[in-house]
Amino acid sequence: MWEQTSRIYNQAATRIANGFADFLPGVVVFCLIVLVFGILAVAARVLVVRLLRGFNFDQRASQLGLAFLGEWSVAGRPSLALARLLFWAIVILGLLAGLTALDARMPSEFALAIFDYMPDLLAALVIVIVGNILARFLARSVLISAVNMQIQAARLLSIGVKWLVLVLAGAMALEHLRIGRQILLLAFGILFGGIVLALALAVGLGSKEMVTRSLERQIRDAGEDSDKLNHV
Amino acid sequence: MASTGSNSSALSIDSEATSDVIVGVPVSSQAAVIAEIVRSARVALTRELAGLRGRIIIVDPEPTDGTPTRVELAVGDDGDDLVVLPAQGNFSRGRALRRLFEATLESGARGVAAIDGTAAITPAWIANLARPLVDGAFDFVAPRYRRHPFDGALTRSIVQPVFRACFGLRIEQPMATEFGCSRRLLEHVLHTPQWPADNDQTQIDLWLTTTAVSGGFKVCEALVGPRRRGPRDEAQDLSGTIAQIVGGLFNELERRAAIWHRVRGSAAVPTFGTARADPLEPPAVNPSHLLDSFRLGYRELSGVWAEILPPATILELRKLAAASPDSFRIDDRLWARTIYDFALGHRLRVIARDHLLRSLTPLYLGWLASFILVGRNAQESAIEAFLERTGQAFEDEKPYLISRWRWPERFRPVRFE
Repeated sequence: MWEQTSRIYNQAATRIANGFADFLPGVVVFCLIVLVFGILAVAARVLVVRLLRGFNFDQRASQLGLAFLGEWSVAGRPSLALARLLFWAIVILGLLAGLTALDARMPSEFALAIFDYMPDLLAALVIVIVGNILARFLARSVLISAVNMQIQAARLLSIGVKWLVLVLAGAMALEHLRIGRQILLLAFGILFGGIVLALALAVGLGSKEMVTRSLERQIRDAGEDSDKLNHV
Repeated sequence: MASTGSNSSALSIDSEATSDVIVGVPVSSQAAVIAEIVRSARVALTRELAGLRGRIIIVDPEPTDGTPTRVELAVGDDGDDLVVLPAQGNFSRGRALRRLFEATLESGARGVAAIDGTAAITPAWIANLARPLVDGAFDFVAPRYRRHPFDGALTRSIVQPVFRACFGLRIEQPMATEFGCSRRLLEHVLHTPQWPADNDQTQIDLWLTTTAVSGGFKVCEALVGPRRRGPRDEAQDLSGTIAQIVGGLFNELERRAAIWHRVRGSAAVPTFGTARADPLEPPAVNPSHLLDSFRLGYRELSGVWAEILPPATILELRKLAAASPDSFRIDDRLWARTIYDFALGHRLRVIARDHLLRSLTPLYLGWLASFILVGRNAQESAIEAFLERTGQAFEDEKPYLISRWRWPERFRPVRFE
């Protein structure tokens, strides 16, 4: 019996030792990958901070509609926030890449799924950033044009355009992330259809006379001034 | 008629038949007024400039739009002094002027009086623009139109004072579409590599004036009559006009920064011709509409202005927006600094350039309201004195522009919502 116990013990010890011997190189590779990605992350952070400072990014960020990035940094500087974002993205990528080296089924599948998702995530991020810049630009265009056309509700129009573009960009980003596709489509259909119908009804029925008077006044005022004054 | 643009690219100026002066018309698709211009030019050449060999050159972008026919009708059988050149490539005012200048040099003429092809003019205009050139004394002749001080307020409030302060000459119309150019100046501009791009229709006129002034050429003004509004003046809304005119001016400042940084003070230029003394009828404008535009602009655009103007200026504008019409006056120095801040914002692209220029519209309307409130019951001489003070303020504030231009980071406006 003692011999049997000893044999089983030896077999178990051998299996554990073999398993540990199989697992250890994976751990070493994991540590190596994490270390390399960590170094890469630090280098990328330093490089990005220098590059963005060279482009005067902290001051341009507000013009590009990226001022919100400043809130993510303790120093209130968008360049630091972006560099930090990149740093942690590379560190997380390194951890995920390292998990595949451990040859564990669940972590590996999770890592591969994340890698598979990455292009969509990046596309969504680009859409959000471009949408933000575009929304800000269009909002300012509408605001300035509306003020120059003497439209009293210039701010309202501008905010409306801004949120329209932001919501559209958000919806496109969510579509890329494959989140709530059907609900999103339905919500948009109902929302925009409702807005257009409400506006049509408001202008067509409720505010017809007011809109007519406003347009007449604008045409009359514009005619009065431009006919009698040559600015150039 | 010597030739028309309808049939050839082989048109050229006959070098044997040299001319003393060229009357040039770079037409921009306005065949309706071209016949009248040609008639005036012929009268000017035969009566006002009698004794000089003159020739009329029309650069026509679209020979098929009826221009040659109208010209033939205007000239009749006796048309040896007329050449219609087809514009080469896509038409632009800059390209048409270049073609005209080349043709002038080919003809051996001593100068060219260029007439905008969109507005009818009198023979006296052409004679006054051409005479200082053929006498050999001057290289560039700018027109001085006969009009009420309230007219041309954009030129008077921004272009004229900025040009005066930066380039040192008091010229009433630095970006006029009518002017005279000597042969010497034409040779210089045709060999200058920085000919403005085709897409800017107004920049070429200011560019010519600044080239003449900064190149040390002799500049004078010619008194011409009242200028009727051409279709180009009415083509755009006010903010579009401001974007085009002021944008052209700011581009010119950027292009010639090294020159205007060295200029100190300003000088008047000699003026030729005789002015009519009869009083002009002021254009009827309601300043309360202009004030409303300014107040709406302050209410909605102060956030945009805060990206261009320093907080002290925004504070002054806030006080103005709250002022009653009786006390509404935009201080000359405040106005000069505001325009200089916009010039710098344009240079640094603090916001999109088109946004920056169009957001100037309510401020300009505020200045116009202030100008009209000051001048509506004043004599013409008092209004001219007011404009002189404005011009002087731009000169006085020029060190502010230079310091901001050289060290913009020290003056960056503080952004607030």
